Amino acid sequence: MDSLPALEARVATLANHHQKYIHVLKQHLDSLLDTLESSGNLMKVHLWTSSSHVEEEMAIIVGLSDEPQVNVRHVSCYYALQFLHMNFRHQDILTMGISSANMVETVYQQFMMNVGSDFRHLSKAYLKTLLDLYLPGWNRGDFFICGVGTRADQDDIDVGVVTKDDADITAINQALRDVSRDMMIYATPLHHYLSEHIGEHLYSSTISEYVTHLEPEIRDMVIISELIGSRFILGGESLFWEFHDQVTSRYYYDPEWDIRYHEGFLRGILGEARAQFLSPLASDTISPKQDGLRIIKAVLAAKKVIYGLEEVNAWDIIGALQIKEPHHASLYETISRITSFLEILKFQLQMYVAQEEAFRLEEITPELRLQLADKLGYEAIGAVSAWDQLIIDYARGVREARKFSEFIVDDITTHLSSISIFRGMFQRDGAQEPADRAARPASSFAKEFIEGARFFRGTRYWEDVLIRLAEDQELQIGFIDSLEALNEESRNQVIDEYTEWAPHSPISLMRLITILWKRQENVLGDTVAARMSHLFLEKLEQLPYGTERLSKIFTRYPQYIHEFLEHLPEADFAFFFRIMNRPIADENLEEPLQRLRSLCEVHEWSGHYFGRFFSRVIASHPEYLNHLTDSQQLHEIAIGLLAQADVYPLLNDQKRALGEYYDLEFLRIGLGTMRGTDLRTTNSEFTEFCDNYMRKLYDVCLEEVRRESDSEPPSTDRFAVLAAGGHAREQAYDDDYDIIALVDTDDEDVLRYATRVMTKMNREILKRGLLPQYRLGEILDGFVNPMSQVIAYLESDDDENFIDLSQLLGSRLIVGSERMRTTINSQILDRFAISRKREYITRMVVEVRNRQYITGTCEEDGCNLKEAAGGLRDIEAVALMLKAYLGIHAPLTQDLFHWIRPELPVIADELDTLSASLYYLRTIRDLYRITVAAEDTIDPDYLTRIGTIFRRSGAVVPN
Amino acid sequence: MSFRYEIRLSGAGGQGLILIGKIIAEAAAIYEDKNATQSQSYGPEARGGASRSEVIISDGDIDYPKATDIDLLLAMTQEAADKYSGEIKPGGTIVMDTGFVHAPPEGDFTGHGFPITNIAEERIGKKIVANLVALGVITELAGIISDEAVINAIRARVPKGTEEMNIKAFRTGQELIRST
Repeated sequence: MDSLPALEARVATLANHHQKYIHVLKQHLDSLLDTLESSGNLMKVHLWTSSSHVEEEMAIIVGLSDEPQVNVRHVSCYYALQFLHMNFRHQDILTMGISSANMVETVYQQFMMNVGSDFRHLSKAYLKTLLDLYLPGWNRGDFFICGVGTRADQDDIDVGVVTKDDADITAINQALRDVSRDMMIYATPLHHYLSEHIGEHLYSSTISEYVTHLEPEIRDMVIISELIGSRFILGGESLFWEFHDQVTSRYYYDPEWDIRYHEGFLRGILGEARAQFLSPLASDTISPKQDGLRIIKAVLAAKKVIYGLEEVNAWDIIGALQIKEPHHASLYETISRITSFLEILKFQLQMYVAQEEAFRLEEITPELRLQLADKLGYEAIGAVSAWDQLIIDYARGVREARKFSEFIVDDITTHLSSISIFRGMFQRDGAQEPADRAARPASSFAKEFIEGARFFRGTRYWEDVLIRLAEDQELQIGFIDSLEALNEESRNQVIDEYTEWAPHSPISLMRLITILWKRQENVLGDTVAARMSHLFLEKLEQLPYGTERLSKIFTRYPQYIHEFLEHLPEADFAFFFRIMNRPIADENLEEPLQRLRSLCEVHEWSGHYFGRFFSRVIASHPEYLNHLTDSQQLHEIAIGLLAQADVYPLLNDQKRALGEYYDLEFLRIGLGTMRGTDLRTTNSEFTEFCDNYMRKLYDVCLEEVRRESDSEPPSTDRFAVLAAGGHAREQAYDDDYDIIALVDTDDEDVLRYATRVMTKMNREILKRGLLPQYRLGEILDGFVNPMSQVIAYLESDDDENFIDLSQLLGSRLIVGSERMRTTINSQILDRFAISRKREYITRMVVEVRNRQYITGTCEEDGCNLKEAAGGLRDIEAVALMLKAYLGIHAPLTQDLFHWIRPELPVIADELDTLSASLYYLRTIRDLYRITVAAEDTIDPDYLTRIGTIFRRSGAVVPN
Repeated sequence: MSFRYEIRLSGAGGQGLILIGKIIAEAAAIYEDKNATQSQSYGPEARGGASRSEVIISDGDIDYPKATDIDLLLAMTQEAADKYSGEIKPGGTIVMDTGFVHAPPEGDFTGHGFPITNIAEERIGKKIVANLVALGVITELAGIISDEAVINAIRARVPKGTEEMNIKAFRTGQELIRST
């Protein structure tokens, strides 16, 4: 007993669950020692050191008492001692190995292999000893026990027990029940997942029960995965191999056999792999198994059955694959290294922190962190602690595990496509096309496929099929035609069967529905998709954790959900939102869910104008979907794009980056409007990015013309580009861009040069969905007009020139020097508007009255915000008159009325009213443009929608 | 005649239900002289974020280690409450986290609803110990395992340095029942 305190002290350095063994020792060690001593066997068993003959020593112990329960307690006590010695011994070897090794991963791997082997050896001896106690004289050939989990795992032992049909199954199960109970109390619990799910008995099954369960269809991937990873432990070894031949081998690749089992396993594995890729990494928790090992082991299991490998542990499989695929040798080397690191980290976390699979970082105390890092050979380097280095290696390892597993997934997918029973249905290229494809009646395609897919029910991977369908319009038409050929009842039955994918593979069903929707020219196609989508949503609503599952899909494939929502009928939107708005328990999914909800909101609230823009931008940049809730981040990306435009050596790349900058900023500001950003912020930000875009675009186009013409461009002292219309007034969301381009010279070469610049700018502006408008240019026959030509026109008797003068008065200089601004002010604005203000104002009053006579006030069926009496155009007209009256050159912006208020105190109240009305009308206009349509006439049916967002913006209705 | 008590702990992954299943089983089997089995769902039914753990406690042999007549159901999500409440035996008990279960199921059983996760956050300062608060509620309602055994099992299962916080959470759960 002298050694017990020392052992207890060392156990105190381990995680708390090891106290279970101290508890056992304190209860039963005295009795064991007495029994060994009194029987003269004390020196025959190792109590205070590791033994290499545990099975024999256990046999000695259980031979000392006639009472089975006493023997159980004694042997459990011995097991506890040996278990602790084994772990301490391996920890000591690891420390020594790390301190003397160059490649720690090799030491890690050797440690895991050795500790796994010794643990299984010890637990097998204990298991056998208990079986001998509870099932004395058991026949070795009657059953076998195989391990179906990771050998080194000490938190549980996953086992499968298979009996012969004629064995005494009841007695075996009673014994296994008692063994399982003792294993839980004294050692490591056994898990009987296979037996619990197959056959009548809870602890064992027969080969025929397995066959009956597994033959009809692919069911449970956990069962199949456990079978593929099974390793014989004890019992009848020939029965184990008989079981392997009759049950397990069906999942291995054999072109001579029914390939569906192999295909089903691969579909299951690929589905699991995708689910792993979908799982976001938690920011506060590490889980070597969940974050990296599970995906590695899944893809290795797939490779194992493809090549028919018998190896069981990960490193042995990797070794075999390096021989089978020498071109991937370095990839497998990396996977082996990552596996070693993640396995030992998981093992040591369980050894020193807790017997869990996920570890919250905040629960790992500084002392434990130091201990763990030290055990794995990490040392502080300067300011970087050993633990920080370990965690960085963990993050790298997990990232690499996922990255390299994706390479293997690609291989598996290629193999799957080449062996799939569906390949004939979807293959259309030349000689490989099956002869019967052309002959197959149109009615069979969609139905045949789903009937064939029935066998694979529960598997989650149909991407190979969906990619082919998505890429091949003829196949899509064939698919829809084949449904069209069915009568309504049969058609609905087939559609319903497709929606059975919802619980297992919602992502596949969403993709299928989207593909069908995209073929909307076929009316039935739309009907099929609409019915499918409605049924899908019904199932999704019933599905446990449907919200969480969509959130996961969104983290990796946001564009799939975006495309689905693009087509979802309005009537089903509320349905979808209801599902998305359910509370979820997994905090790690809260953030992606918020983003998904935000995307739903965009689809719900977008009008055609913004919706089209949104779809166009997202089609090129689906990654933006992940930032929809973070306006600042979108803005930072946009600023980066603008900066990048300066860096590219090729002008086309500069233009592309500029275009992306414009699109992203438009998207960001539009989202802000939808969420209630106030008008002042919207207009200011919108104007800023538009001006940035135009100025930079001008520079790029100027440079382009310079390179093409090999001559120097005109100075900005002579060339000006002005924004007119809405852009001049700093008003967002105009669907055209009114431009006035002027040169202060009559030199034909300069005019030609400037015109080429504007032509190039026009082409780019058009790509943004904006229509460049040159009202003055159209009248004067050129995108660019000399000042002399404009002056002559304004001096003429042409009635129209009043409109152009007003446009000039309301314009804003985008490109041009201060000299050019002064020239325009003095030669045009001062001369024709300000110095002739009485004439200008009189003409404007007539203009306003005439328009009011024609347009009148708002009608019941819609109000034109711009043209109606008291509308935006009237307010802008008043502002122009005030500019002329007071001789103001500043742009006609929202703030103009405030600026001039001190100048006209007599009408201060009226100016305030005008300002508030302008603010109100522009807010309504912006909201309508983003959420309904780019029109000035408000449809009363949409007022509720406008009102909802209006309230969010905090705007007020003026008196 | 030996007694048999069946507990099903259900909710979402990450709520720590497997852990408290193990604690209950070990409290009964290791720290009290009872028989216990514990199983956890990691099959297809666990996909999509679900988590389920079952514990059966008896003073005799447990021939059938699956819960069929549930004495006590812990439902930490609405889905779990909807899915499993039908398997509670007449006169049984359901414990719900009302932060997630907004529509309590109806049936021939007694319902106990508490905002368990919120309470964990408010009183202990950490949502993650909601499972231990739930364990306190369950222990108090079931009344078949001693406090001492459960606390021993908690100490043996949680990371070093977090024992007191976890025990405090457990006591908080017990107090919820004692004060009602």
